[in-house]
Amino acid sequence: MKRMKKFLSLLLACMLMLNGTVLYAVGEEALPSETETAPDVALSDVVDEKYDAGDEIVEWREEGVKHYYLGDGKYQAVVQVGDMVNQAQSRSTSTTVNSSRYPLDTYLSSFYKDVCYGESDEVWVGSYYVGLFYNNRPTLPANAVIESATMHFSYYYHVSTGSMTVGAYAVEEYWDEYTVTWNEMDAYPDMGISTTASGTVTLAASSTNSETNPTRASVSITDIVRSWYSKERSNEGIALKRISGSNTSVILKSYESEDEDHYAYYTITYSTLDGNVVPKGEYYLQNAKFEKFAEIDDDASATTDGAIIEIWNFNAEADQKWNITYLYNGYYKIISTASGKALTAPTSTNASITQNVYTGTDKQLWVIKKNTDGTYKLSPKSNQSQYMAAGAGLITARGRNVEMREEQSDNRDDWEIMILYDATLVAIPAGSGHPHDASFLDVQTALGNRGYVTNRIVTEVTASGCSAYIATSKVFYSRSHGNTTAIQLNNETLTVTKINNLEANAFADCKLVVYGACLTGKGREGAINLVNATYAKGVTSVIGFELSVNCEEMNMWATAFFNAIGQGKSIEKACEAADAKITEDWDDIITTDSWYIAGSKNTVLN
Amino acid sequence: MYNHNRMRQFLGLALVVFVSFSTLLFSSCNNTSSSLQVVMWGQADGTVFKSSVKSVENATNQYQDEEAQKEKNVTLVNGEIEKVYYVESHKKGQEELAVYSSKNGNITCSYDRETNKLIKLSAKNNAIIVPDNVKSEVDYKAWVEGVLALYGVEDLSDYRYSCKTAVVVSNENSTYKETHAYFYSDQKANERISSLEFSYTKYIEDYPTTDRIEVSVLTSGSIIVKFDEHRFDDSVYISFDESDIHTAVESFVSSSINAGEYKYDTINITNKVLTHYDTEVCMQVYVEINMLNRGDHTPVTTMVTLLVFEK
Repeated sequence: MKRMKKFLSLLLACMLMLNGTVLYAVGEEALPSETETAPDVALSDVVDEKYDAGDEIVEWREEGVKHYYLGDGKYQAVVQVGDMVNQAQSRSTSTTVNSSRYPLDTYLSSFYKDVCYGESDEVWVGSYYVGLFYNNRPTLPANAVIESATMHFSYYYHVSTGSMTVGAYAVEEYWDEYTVTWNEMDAYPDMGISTTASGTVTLAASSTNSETNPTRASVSITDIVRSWYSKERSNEGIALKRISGSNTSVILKSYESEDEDHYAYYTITYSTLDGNVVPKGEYYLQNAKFEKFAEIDDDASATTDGAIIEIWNFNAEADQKWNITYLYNGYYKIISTASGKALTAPTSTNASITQNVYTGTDKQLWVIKKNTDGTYKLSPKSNQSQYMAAGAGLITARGRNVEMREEQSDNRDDWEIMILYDATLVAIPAGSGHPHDASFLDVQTALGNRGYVTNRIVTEVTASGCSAYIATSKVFYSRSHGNTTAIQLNNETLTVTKINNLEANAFADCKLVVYGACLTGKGREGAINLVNATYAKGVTSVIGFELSVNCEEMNMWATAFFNAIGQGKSIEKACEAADAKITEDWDDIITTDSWYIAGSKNTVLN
Repeated sequence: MYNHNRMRQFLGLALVVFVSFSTLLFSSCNNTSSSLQVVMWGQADGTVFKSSVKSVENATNQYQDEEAQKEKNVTLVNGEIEKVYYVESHKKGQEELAVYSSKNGNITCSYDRETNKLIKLSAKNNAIIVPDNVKSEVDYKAWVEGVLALYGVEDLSDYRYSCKTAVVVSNENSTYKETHAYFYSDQKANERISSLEFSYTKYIEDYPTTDRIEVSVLTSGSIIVKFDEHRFDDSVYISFDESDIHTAVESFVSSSINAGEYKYDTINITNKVLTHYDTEVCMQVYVEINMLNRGDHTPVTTMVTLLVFEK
């Protein structure tokens, strides 16, 4: 009874002061399906509690949800859901696809640094020239393993002897074929071009090689192409630069030559993994045996090169966050949010795993495989028969080191991968035939284009729960009834008064709140309305509506708005894009164009 | 004609619809005036209204019409002909539209399924550009009427002209859209015109109807022409009395408010439009409701849209 009373008081504190963050394990099934609803906190759901020696609740759980005590009456919620991401080792047979055959191409000349050569039918590469090429990249499956990528082109010389070796480099800055000049690119460090060649090729001159009979050649661009797909860099194209040789310049056929057989293009040969991959994102790694989380050892500075990794109680701090990126080569890199350094395997068995500057060594490339119980094993490319595991023995007050060990008989070498939701969509259940959440799948997809992981909730949400979602999400979108000073949840309301009672900057981590409800922006700037109250708590941009909105129209507006956000438009431009969509509709009722933005109008979500 | 065919087609259905709809009205309206019935249009705000208050609205259903013509030629505002291809059909209430789009997606058209009449033409990404010499309201009006003439709308004597200008206003800490009910040409430094809307609305005894022809020019590069007309060509007009409307709406609102939370104070009817629900002519009214919160007696305002029917 005493415990229950204490629990009740803590639960109340949790609901009122929740700095809580909801974590979900990753994977296709982990994300709520169309009909699935995320669990809401309810006392009746509590199935287990854990206490420390002082009888304080340090962990309690409902069905599928764990809440960890962070101190000061605050909890963090972690949700474990169903099946997980799977990466099996078997791969499909290889497939080869081509880029578009219609490149944007030009060259830069150090002789004429202000001249743009975009309309030239030649691309010069040499001691005084750099060639630039851009092709649209083909769509690949998310679980593709790029075996190789090759750029193909045709060249000729005005001489019949000698040769030149050229390298293929990634262009890292945007350029426009019809305006770019040497001077423009020279304003960037290294001219906006990577410093390491992905591949090289020696182009030989010959007596038969000529403008009318150019020679075909190819160069490896595998590393560059993988980095495009893993989103480590955007596709700004390929630069060809002279490295060495007896000849000083070589000429390639450009698109403007209208010689279709000799345009530059590239091919990608890939296979696919038998399973899904972990989407690029920030995650927590929880040890399955000890239920503690991998972090950088507190005994060392979080940024120290070579600091060891340990497991520790969940605290949601940056040194427990790991950025997992699938590299499209069958492996992942795992980078600490706190340090920017990579999870690095040791050379010896049972030695500690550390963090080190990422160099792409095999010790920093990881395979992530699913176990039958839904947990994962992580093994380094350098030694794939060994696994990331909690060290031997029990956990101590100093934590427990994370080591590279042979497969364990218990599950200390098994891990859960858990993700923090970036965006939360809340809708009251359909009432009077109104499908309030009708836009949620579209919104989720649109936000996914910005790399956001979205939680969709169509259930009973409390006002304090709603505040917590705003506090812990980068994007919050609600669909409900509303008026100037409140939105209706299910059995209660989130009001201006309740928001005013929150601590200053309670919503400082949130970038965008959209209240898809009537009148929440009525009176606009200076008025007492829900938008201004929310903005006053630190959200970057808050949107509401000055007029009453129609449910169907609101859903359509939201879909168009978030689609524009997903395409990288600013808040204001996205509002206008949504207006345009509504205007194009044949419905006469148009009130969503009464939007009001408190705060930044130019924010672009990233 | 658009409405002739429709009215004939649904004449037989009207009685069935009316009987079932009347049941809904009577069950949801307790204290309406003796001659009028009121029903909520769109979502009923569950905070403000009793849960027993029912609402009606027309959901839009999308479907593929196997019988639809697969491609059409549409004449653009500038006289050019563009080929458009069938995309899908929309059914909303009694209206069914077939939607077509050009290959690059810049031109979208909607046609009435029954009459094959062009209902909407949308041109995006500057597919149609307003001529450079069109600057003043007089210029725009002449250009718009030229556009309408191109699509066979030459007699606008039954319609009233109006213009709206949407302006995005940016202040230090906020941005909002303000709509002026006139041609706004006095832009300030922190303002940007986002759209101009030229409309022609049919009125019946000073009540606007949903018979509207509209040309919208969006500064983002879109031009949209809509022909929502002929619904009221031969409908029997039901004479609504102003005071009866106010009495009926006030009675409906005051009896529908969640009295445990709010105390009714006053209403302000801000707009009325003659429209149809199914085959019934009704008045769509926009109502601002002023109430007091029973807890702290603070004033609360909400807005609703209601449909008023003659019994």
